[in-house]
Amino acid sequence: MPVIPSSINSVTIEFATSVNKEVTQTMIDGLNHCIKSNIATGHTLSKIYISSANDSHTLPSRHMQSKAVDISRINGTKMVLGYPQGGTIKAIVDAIQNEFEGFSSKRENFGPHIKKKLGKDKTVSGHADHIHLSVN
Amino acid sequence: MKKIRFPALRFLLILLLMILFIGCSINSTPNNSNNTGPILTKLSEVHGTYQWNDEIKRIVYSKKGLIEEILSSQDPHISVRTLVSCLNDLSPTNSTMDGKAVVMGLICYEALSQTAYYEHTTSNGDIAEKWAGHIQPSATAKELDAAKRAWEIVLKSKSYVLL
Repeated sequence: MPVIPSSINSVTIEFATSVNKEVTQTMIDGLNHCIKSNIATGHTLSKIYISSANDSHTLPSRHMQSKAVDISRINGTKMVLGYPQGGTIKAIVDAIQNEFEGFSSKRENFGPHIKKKLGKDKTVSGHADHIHLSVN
Repeated sequence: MKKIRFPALRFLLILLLMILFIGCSINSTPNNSNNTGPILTKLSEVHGTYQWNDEIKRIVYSKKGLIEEILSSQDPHISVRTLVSCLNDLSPTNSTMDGKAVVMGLICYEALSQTAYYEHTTSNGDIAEKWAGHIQPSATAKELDAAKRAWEIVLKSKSYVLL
């Protein structure tokens, strides 16, 4: 199974020590689609922190199906701290989530900005502290 | 080395060594294993407020940075355990919402949500709509109790994720 690379479109990818980087190619394609240094106009995305991929969850979670990734930090700042302050972190988080909606194999896109499943609004609790992206 | 002949002197020497050993053991105890009390006290003393944030359309706690500072002295896994244990604590804190003191359980949840998260899933692997471990600043005593129970299950299965 492919492994999430340490750099995507010039953005450094950092991982929690517990992360199993093996995910489906579709999930990697999804990350390639929305992780870009210039994703938010006027702001630079230099690195993201993946807190979970194919790990830390129990079946049947999409994480354990190798089809989901959680991002909890942007440019070294915890989303849960930086997002409410607005500015760069919010702009980048919003842009990543918006861009993922344009990915053809998207499934879940839950985060501080939007909560969507298969392109439609979905009510789920939590997710003010990280972005959960999953694919079909 | 000269052999110690007197039993009383030998006894005193052994006693002295034991005292020194115990003293060293106490001093070498890691800070993060016994500072739970001070950390909760510090969290309780924070003068924060829960306020509506128009930009992100939700209520936000004003002293998240200070909470982060307080928790930084402790191993995050120990923090998670400590914070789950106080989720149903109804004692008042220095933090407020609408001018009224909020309970300790809410501050513990605030700190917990800056440290770790858990994703509850449905039978097909998608994220579930609701999970009792997620609460709002307006949470009742019953909801705080339910949150504690939900997080205790997560602790047991070690299925939380550090942020």
